[in-house]
Amino acid sequence: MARKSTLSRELDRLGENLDRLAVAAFSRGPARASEEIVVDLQETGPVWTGKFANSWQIETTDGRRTAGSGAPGQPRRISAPLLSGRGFLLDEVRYKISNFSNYSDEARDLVESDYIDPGVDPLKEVERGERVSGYRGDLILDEDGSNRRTAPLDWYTTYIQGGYIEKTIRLNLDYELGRVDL
Amino acid sequence: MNYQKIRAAVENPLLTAFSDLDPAVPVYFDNITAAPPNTTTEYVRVNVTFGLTNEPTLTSSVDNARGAVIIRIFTEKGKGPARNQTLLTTAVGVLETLNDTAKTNSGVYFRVGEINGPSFSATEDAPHFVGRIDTSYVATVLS
Repeated sequence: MARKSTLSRELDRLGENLDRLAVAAFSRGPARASEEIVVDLQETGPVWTGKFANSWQIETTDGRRTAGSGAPGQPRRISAPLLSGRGFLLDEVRYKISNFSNYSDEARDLVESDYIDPGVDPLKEVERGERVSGYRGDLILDEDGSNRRTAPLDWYTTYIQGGYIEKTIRLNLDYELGRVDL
Repeated sequence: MNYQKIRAAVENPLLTAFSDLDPAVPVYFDNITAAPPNTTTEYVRVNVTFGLTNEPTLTSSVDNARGAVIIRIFTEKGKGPARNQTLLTTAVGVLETLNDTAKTNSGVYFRVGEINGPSFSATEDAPHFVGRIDTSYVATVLS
């Protein structure tokens, strides 16, 4: 059998490097983007006791999951799971970000609710006003108002629909691909 | 960037559509609220929010904005969902019409994305049954 030429071996090695680096970039990029999106959601969204802000979780299509503690306190970053090798064999690679707190829909202004002042000061700066409807953030702002909110009405929908997610993903993919050195 | 033109591009057709109903249904926009809201049997709330502005990759124009349109329909509680869904249909019709409008050389070119919802909710204290839809939009100011 003929021995492989030096050029052939170099090409094989280049191919292996391409595979390895592409996998790394396409795993790390979405993972880092997911982490930054969670930070954005924590910073943009309401923070009263911190339970909601610490209840974000990131799941991958191959079943890996990392989650916040769900405990009160200042919002803490979470690390996204990296896809396993098996994850790349799936037809679709997806990172899913969700919030597991019991009042997630209310906090995101998706449904109405009745609210009780918890009797503690929130961890985030508040705006005062008078609540118009049963939506958490639906206040007519008034410094002397009896209701408080720590995020504006529809903060979540604006973040989701306003282009921020696509921008974060693009920036992180560009960054990770830019790190690939062949 | 002319945010007011963008806001008007979606608010005016919605106001016209609900005003043309018989009976007309009041529509309230950002910073304009029924006072007090619970005295009105049924009404519509429209919130237009802004996300990224002048995102260079969207179009060759830099005068563009993205954001969300959130429409909430308040109808009488305890009367079933029919009336609420009828009014939601009016709102969705307006959004679909916006997407059917041809691009011209002036004004605002406004396109909405997929519509989320409707989702419905009601609380014990409030007198209304609420239907909610939201969608993304991309708007380009052409002149």
